[in-house]
Amino acid sequence: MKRFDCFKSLAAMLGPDDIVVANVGPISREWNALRPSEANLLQVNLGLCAAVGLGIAITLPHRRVVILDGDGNLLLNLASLADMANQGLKNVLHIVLDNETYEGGGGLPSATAGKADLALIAKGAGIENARVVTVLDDFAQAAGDALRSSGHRFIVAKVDKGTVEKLPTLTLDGKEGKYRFARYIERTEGKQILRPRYTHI
Amino acid sequence: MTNSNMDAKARAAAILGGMKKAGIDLIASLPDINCLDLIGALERDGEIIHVPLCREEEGVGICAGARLVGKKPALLMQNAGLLNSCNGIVTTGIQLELPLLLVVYYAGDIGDRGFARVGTATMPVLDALGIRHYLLRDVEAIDWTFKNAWVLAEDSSRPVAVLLTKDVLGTRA
Repeated sequence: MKRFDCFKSLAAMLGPDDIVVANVGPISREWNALRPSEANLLQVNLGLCAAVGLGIAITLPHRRVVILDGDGNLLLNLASLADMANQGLKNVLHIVLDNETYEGGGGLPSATAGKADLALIAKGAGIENARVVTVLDDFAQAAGDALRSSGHRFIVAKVDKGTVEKLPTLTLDGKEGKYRFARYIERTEGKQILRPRYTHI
Repeated sequence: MTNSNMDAKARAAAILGGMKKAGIDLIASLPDINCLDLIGALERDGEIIHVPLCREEEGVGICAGARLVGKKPALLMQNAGLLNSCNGIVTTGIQLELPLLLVVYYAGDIGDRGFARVGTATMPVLDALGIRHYLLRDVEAIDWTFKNAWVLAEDSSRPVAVLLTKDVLGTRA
């Protein structure tokens, strides 16, 4: 199963208001190519993708938050799973694109290439609705089921190593991504987030 | 030291009150024994969202996400947790230029019996990260310190640290 195909399937199911938080590397580049949107917060750094998604989901419980995580990224901060479970989230779909590899780090295997099972770890952390999918039809069904219901769903999609050729370059740096996302939230939630500057001059 | 007649619970309430007056509305925390009254007050508070943590660094991510959608977040932890959080503070808090209040219990402070090593590392690490820090000893300085620390965090678009001592917490026997 290719990650890009999973993303094509998911992108077709999401609404324009669905917030997507994606971790740094090819996950963000592939997702941006398929669903360019101000509702995406891309290139979230090492180990914090789930935590950033949690902070958004707690603050905006009326908005759906989809987290696109990597195996190496999540393994770096497994504690997030326990804390997410205890929040009783109703609005989170957490997808791990598990290629069993530190792809951005040179291609060496991650712990999921060995004995670690992230869906079992998630269940053990208290996320009851956690499953593994290995073929595209199952991914589409699992994601569709999750998006049709409220709750906290966790899907490990076992995907091939490697990315697709000729992806558009992500020109946003972190700061521009921050401003774009926060301005989008300001507009859609009708509130001021970023402080106006130089109001006194 | 002023207000020495206040007990630890009253001091915890004053510290939480100071954060609330500064506008803080989400606190991620990991306990230290000296912060139990403060976390207890936070748990009972109906207004501030409290996110208990297993590991401090994820608190940086939670606070970052919450900040991007409108919260004024604080991360409450011991200074050992600050050391645990450095990667997230740099690659998310500082890189994205996010205001964030780091409320750090200062273990290994002058007069402590224990934790001198982590105490010794605390301010140099904050300095190396370019994080401005303010030591809170006096109950009367609580409101002023949190209010202005948040103003600085917003104005500089960076994390700012307030170091909580046993003096202000009232946990020194």
